[in-house]
Amino acid sequence: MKKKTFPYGFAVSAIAIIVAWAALAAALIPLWAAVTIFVIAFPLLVLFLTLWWRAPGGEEDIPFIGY
Amino acid sequence: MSDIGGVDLFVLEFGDILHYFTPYSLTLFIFALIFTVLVIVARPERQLDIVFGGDAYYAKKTPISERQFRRFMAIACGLASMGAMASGDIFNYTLFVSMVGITNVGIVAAVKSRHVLNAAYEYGIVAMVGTLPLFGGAALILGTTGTLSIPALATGGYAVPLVAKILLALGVTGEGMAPFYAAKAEMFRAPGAPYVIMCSLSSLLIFLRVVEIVITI
Amino acid sequence: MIEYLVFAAVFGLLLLGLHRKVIARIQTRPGPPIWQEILHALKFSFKSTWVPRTASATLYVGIVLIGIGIWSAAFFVVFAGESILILFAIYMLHKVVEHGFGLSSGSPYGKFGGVRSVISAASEIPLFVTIAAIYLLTGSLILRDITAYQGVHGPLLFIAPPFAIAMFLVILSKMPYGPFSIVESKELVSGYKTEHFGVWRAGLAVTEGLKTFVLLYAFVAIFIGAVPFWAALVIMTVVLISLSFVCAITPMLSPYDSVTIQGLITGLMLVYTGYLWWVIP
Repeated sequence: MKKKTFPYGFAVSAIAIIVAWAALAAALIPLWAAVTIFVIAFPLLVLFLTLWWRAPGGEEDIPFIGY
Repeated sequence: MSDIGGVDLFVLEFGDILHYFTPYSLTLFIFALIFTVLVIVARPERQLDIVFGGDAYYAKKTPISERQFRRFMAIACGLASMGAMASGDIFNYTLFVSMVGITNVGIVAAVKSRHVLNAAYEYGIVAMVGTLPLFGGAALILGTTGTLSIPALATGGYAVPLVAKILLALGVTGEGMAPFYAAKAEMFRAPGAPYVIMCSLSSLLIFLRVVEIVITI
Repeated sequence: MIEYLVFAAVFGLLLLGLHRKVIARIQTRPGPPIWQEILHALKFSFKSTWVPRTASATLYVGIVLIGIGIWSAAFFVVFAGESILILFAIYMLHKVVEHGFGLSSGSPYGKFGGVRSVISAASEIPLFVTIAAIYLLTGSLILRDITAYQGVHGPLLFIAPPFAIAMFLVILSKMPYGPFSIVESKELVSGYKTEHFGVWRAGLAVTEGLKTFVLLYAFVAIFIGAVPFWAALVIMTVVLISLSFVCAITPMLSPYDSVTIQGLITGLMLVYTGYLWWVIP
């Protein structure tokens, strides 16, 4: 995934959470539906946010194997 | 029925056999589904191992043919665990559980390593022995109550013998790989993380479901 | 709802920081500041990040999402007063997540952390004995009903203290630096966490924060009953400090000793449950 897509992913998950939260507050959707959206969108929100603001650089290497 | 797993969300009737989802069994079902999808899309990792007695290390590779067979077995295992989660009938449940046992052996036995094959062979024997208490427990329940439908048994009025419940739980523990073989390093010489995880996941899921069944009936 | 979830993650990390601080003070060290775990999570999130060349990339990333997802779900289960069986299923499935963290990278250290996580499944068995006994006493496993039962009969902590101790030990086996935390002992570098660095480790920190909060909150709800939210937070902190005392003064057990001791506790719980089953008509 390219670094440009991370802010979009973050925006989509944030909007999903805000919409679900507002719809729950306005009693438009039942609790279980809102909770399902939270449970799916919250992990994505965390990962996309941190992948977006992380420092650039680094290349893939093999795992740590000992000193 | 006593709703220890929450209120029923969905019920499908087949005569007196009811297949149902409570929030509990739905959670387990979704978990099995997520990991089955992961097995389908994820490629196995290349496990790093240190050459014994030296500083060198190497990455194990999973050959295509072995990967295909283990992926097939892992998907079958995921489907069997999903079936066990959704079933509302003790006999169907025991069938799915024994299928989980068979596919678990398959996932491990495809690896061409003497140590892994040895572990798979021993596990196969335990799984085979485990079917005796498993089906024995189901047979005892049918013999004493005349039905195997979990919702029917849960309504009360049936005296399910304690020994049948214990046999059922014992059989599931025998089929599930995790309790007996997780401590064996031989099994984890096998690379292929998604498939090995499916072994431990299916063992845990069938165990979690039997806890619900034993408390409910 | 979402604000509670974010609060739970942050407060859980704060509790873990307090845990380190208390351990340090008992061992007459200054210790890190209490918000150190929050700072850690932020620090890791800013680091440059990639996927190891040997890793199974989908599983390596997916398992972080699953980890945060299951504990968010567990939080809502406890918060809505649903069946505690679901909470404990998630607690057990956390083993699979740890196993996935360990195996997905191909690192030998991660692998052994994952293997130890599966063999310490023995720590979950006291949990099921506890559940069976709670069902025996209250006749339900829905958290709302258990709270209602405690409203009538008083806290379960005083009715059946051995089960509170069993659940205390179950939480203890999930605390870092404790006698049973063999999954991340130092001979394995960081155990199953070894190869999840940078952003992935920040995600893992969110999981840890949520997990700590949910387990302690569930302990309060199951054994103390309905209390105001602020009081629950105070009781959780007290329980955490008692856990820190245990962690500070006990050495880490070797993997097989850890499993043996957890097995012995299960045996004792089974005997006590059998006694209760005999006494309660």
